[in-house]
Amino acid sequence: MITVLSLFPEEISSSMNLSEKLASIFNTAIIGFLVVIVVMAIIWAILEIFGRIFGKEKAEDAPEAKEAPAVPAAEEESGAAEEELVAVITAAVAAASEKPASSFRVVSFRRAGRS
Amino acid sequence: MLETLKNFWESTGLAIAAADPETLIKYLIMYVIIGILLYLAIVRKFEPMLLLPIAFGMLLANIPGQELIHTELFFVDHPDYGQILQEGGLIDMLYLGVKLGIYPSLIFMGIGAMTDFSPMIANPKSLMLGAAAQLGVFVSYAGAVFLGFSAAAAAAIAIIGGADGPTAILVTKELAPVLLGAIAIAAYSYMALIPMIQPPIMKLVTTKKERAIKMTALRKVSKKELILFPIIVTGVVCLILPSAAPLIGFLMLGNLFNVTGVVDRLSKTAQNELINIVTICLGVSVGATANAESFLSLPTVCIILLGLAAFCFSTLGGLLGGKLMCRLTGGRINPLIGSAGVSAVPMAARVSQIVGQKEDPSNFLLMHAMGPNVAGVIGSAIAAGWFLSCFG
Repeated sequence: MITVLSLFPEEISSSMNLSEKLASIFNTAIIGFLVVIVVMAIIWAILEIFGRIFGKEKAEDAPEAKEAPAVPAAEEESGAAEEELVAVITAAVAAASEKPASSFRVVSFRRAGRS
Repeated sequence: MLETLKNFWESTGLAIAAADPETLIKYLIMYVIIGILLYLAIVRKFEPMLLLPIAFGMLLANIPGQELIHTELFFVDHPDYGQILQEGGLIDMLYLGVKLGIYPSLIFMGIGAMTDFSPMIANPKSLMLGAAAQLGVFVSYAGAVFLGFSAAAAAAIAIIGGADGPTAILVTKELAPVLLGAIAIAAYSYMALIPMIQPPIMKLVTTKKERAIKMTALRKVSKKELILFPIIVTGVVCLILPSAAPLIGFLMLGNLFNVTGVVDRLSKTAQNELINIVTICLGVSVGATANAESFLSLPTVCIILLGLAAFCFSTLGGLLGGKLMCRLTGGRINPLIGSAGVSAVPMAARVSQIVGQKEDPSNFLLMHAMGPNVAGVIGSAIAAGWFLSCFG
């Protein structure tokens, strides 16, 4: 029976000495971390190739990004307020059109009514 | 009549609990823990989708005399499935989905269908942040080995640092099933506590100037890229680490359902009904493995401490990776997005956004942080595959 006072039960405890523990840490932890980094780096390399191929293809097909319905800017907002507004508009257009926010760009906006 | 009443009393949970004061105390402690978990899920809304069924599963498993689950049938080297089917209770049947590794893969399929990988494809450097944020997994492995856990149990505990519930469950059920309840509860509790765990480390490791860095808009990702990505990642990762196939394979299958747009019904099922049903079965059955006998023990205390260390070191690893990238790119990467590499989608990315915005309210890091965030899911699945290939 496992109680609060008992040490680890047999099935999850080890009798490794210090050198065996260090070997286990090297073989599993350090090599494992390197494996994760190498596999992720391979995927990174593949995605970079993707970017070169498809980025160029896209540039030839459509030189300009698809823009959200927008009208010429009539008035300027300044600094932080304007950027916040752009973020809000981007989120609203993405939600309404059910398209990712990365698929369009808000280039200008103006107030529609003044009530 | 008295005999009937006596027999009835002896069959009740109250009589069974009262027969042994030591057992009664254990049950009472478990009820306090269950109460705290239910409070966190219902009142504080911390990961309620999983903490609620897990806590309720714990409650069911800690009723004296219940016949719903028999963990002793599962926690052996070679479970007798015939015996389980004949003698098992309701939760024994549900637990078969955990034991056979079905639920984590199906949940990963749903996550894949819900995940937009385009921020990562647009900025593939973020993959390295997802890799760096696995630091905590391997640091806590070392810690667990030093504390005296077996290598397999240490691996199961360490994967808590991947901040991914299904991954932790898959690895634990394979390597240290007796720890499943404690590890699952630690993993989901810490995921819920990410908004409290990460910000102090983020502020400690980064400078004010670094936190205020604004990143340029991400490029648009074509549909061809989105479709090729899951197919190629499955091929690459599963060829190198076949043991990661149950996670990566199903994650990418779900994503392929979504991005192709030709199987909308499958995609919607994977990300709604299926994942919801599986979450209920997984939560209840995993929670039910946390009975008083196995849960109230020294290993559980160690798991809770090592899990916290794993989360902290994973956050640190991601941030250090972010700082390195910031240097290498001449200050174009905000290191705060590195902490999102701990997986826990999308909460970790939201934390990056919130901490960045506190420094500069006009800074929007969310989409940039989603890259390392989804990369973290892949990274933790690779780490899990590594452990399974070593000890599985």
